[in-house]
Amino acid sequence: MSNDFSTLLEEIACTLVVGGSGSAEDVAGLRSSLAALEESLPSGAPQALRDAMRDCRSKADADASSADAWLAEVVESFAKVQAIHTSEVIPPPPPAAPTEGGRAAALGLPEWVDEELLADFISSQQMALEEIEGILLAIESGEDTDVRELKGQLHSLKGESGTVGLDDLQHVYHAWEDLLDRDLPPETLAEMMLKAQDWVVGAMAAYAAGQHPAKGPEDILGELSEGIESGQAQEYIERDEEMVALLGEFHEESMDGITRTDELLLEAENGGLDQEGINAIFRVFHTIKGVAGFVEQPLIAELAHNTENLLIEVREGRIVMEGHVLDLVFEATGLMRRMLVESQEAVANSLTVTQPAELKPLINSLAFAVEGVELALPPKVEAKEETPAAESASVASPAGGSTKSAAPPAASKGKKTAIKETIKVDLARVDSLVELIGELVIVETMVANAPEITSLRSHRVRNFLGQLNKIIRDLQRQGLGLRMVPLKGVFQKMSRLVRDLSKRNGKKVNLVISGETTEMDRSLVEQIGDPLVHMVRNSMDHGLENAEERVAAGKDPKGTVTLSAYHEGGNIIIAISDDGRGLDREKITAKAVSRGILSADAAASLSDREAYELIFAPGFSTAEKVTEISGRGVGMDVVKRSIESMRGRIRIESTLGQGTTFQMVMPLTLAIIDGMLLSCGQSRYVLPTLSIMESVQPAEDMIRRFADRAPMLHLRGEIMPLVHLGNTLGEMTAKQDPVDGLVVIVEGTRGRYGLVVDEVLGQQQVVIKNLGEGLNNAELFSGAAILSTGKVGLILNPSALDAETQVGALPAAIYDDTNFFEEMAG
Amino acid sequence: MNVQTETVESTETELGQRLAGKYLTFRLGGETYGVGILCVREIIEPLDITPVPRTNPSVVGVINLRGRVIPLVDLRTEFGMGSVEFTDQTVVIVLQYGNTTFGVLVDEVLEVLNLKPKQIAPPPPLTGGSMGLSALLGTGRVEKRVTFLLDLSNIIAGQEGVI
Repeated sequence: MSNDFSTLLEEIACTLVVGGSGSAEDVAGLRSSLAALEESLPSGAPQALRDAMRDCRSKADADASSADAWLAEVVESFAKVQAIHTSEVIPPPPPAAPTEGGRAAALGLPEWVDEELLADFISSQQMALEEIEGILLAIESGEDTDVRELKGQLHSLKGESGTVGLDDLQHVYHAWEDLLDRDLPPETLAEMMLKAQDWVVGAMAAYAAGQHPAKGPEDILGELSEGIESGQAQEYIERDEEMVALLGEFHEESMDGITRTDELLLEAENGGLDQEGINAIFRVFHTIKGVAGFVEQPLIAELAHNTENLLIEVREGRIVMEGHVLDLVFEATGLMRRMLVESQEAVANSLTVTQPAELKPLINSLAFAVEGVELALPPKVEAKEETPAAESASVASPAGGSTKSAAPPAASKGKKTAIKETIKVDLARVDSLVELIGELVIVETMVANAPEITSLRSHRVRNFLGQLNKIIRDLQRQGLGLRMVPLKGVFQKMSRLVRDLSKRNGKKVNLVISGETTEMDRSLVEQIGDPLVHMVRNSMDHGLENAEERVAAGKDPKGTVTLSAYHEGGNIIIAISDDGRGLDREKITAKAVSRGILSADAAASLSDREAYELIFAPGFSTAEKVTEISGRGVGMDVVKRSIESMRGRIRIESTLGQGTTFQMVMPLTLAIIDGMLLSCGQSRYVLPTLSIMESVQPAEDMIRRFADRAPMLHLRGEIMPLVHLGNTLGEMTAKQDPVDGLVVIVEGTRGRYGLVVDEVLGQQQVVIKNLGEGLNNAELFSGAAILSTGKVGLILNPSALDAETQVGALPAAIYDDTNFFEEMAG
Repeated sequence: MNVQTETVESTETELGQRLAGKYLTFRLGGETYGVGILCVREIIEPLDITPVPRTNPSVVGVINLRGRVIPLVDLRTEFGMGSVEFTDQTVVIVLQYGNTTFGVLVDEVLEVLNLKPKQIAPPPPLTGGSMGLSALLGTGRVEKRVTFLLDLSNIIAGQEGVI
């Protein structure tokens, strides 16, 4: 088909102009696109075009000396193809007297359409179109016109096209008719309809020449549906401050409500929704409707109103909340969420709000459902972003399909939402309060430890100081608590994600959630969302087997994914477990070796845990085939990096055939860490307690030295490298012999190592501060903290210190003069 | 940096007008330097400096400025004049450019100088990649005293390449 060819041609042209990085992926992609392009050459294409195309492909398949040269050649030869195409094809090559009798056949029309019928059809259509054009122009000029007549005409034109088998034409007429059903402003409506009319007129000319129109129906259909969505061009609108504030509150509250509704709906899907739950959903939509009307959001109000109507029926017991009805309410919350986001953006940019294309069909379906009639929704063209980072995949979920595959959080079942009174506070104010409290704590310590105070013998003063200290500690705890929010919201999104994924990939999954009330720092909760999405997808896609495999392995065909959060020590653990196939050590190491991540020998000597960690290596993917949901080899390394950027780490436990558990060990808050205060020479350093395993006072026989220099610690059968903090940091007065000092065993990114320090002074909570600009390359430190002396203490970065073991471990480095000098002289 | 000899005559008044204003002057070695008063946040004593090992040599360390950790640049090292010698007169000038706050260690703070346009001349035609030259905006002349006018906004940002 010539229009396929044109589309492909344009696509490739875009790629060449925009992309063209010359990476291996680009090259391969371009080659396959060109192959597809050659295949789609229209049968009547001129020889020149064929030759140019062949030339272009041979250029593309050749291996050029450099990517740039290759690209330049391909671009040049492709330009020829384009030039020939535009000059020869777009203005259709004047059909040398269309072979009489062959037109209908050339168009691939049904056999009953003979030449005469086609001619009649074309002429009658052309006449009707002229008439329609008059009506359209009248609409455009703002005359009051009866669109019903127009609609009738379009309808019969559509019917005619169907009878002669011109499906493309029929679709365009259908979309055209659809335009009239939308509430579009007259100018936009007229413009869109004129576009459609232009296309049809062009198509008629092409049909008359025995050809399909050069511009495929997809283009015009796309334009029309786009027009419906954004056709009501967003216009600048001035809202007064009060209204903006009201809208802000409305968006936020409605979002909260929608999130709660999602949660309740998931319960309903599991059959666990009582009257109270239905009432709660009803109230959410009722509130949104009321407020939306007040803040001039008629579209949102309309959707809320229609959903509410359906919910009334459910509440009165006339309709059961399941199957189609439940799906509809799900759709409604999804669309509502989207409209709220769009409206929020529109308000932020002072623009008018537009009507999404899905709104009308959904409202229709809702209205029919109230009457007890099931009206299927048009299949979604693409998955909209109802869930965070939803795949823009084209797998449309058939409406009314199996809906019982995802399960709601079991733990939250039957729980009533208690209403607490809250006020909204600007986050910046909370932050500055917390910062001030931090400083207060420091000053209090300084005062209490000042020699002038400590030399006082007054009991009264000491009592007062004690009280002051207690109150300040309380204040600090409360202050930090202000930033804490429960993980519930994030977990909620995961249940929705599991539901959607399970519908999409057909794996039945039971999601068990626990500990969703565990609180974490607000910024951490915000950041944990993305990695969690990756992990959940990973479990759903790679972890769980499909139903047949599960049955064959003697498991319940329905898989279980558990999402839990709990405190452990000073940390919060967020764990994702599945009862799937488990990690296969052999497969992982084999893959890592084939990817060149490590050598076969190194792979064989890894512990199981180390082997599992390989899945976090960049470019690693264990899925045998890449799926649309996960497994593009990105993801797990990104997960690891983002967890580490939040000062957390990931632990993996896995049993082959029984499942895998990922544990994310997260700090309670970003701003404050538990640190161990170390002394080294004249300086004091803070080491995050999170990364400390233990500390030992080594005996002489525990220290081993490779080549007399690189010291290692032999601890309970394990040999680990030692990093001498004093030498690394150039602290001349630090104790040289590890036996005189203390060894802190630290978990680094590549395993454990011992950090030789002078002394461990004690544990202290510290507020992390940035080192400031100009010190970006000080990677041995992850920040600074103000110590109780008022002096700045540097916070050591255990994963960067880890790299210092190499200096000791690699003989070559020891004899490297510069390194050696640095190590010795600091 | 791009104010070169060929433009001396034509830009003299323009440069003078642009740079005219109040400068905090300080001593570094035997010469007098000045920074625009609007960038100066405060002048503090160099107390409790925490050195940051293995980073830019001209950053002598970090200090606690009322709960905020700020880096401290040794201008002598930065300008290739050897490292700082702490005396009674050594002070820290805390500078703020945009969101960046840092301190510079100088030998002595002198006075606030109000320069008129005609007292300001473009930098002399020095060549070579000498450190600090890029920070030199011009020279201020009051009677026989010469003050080198500096823009220090880039010395912190430009640190990466120094190591």
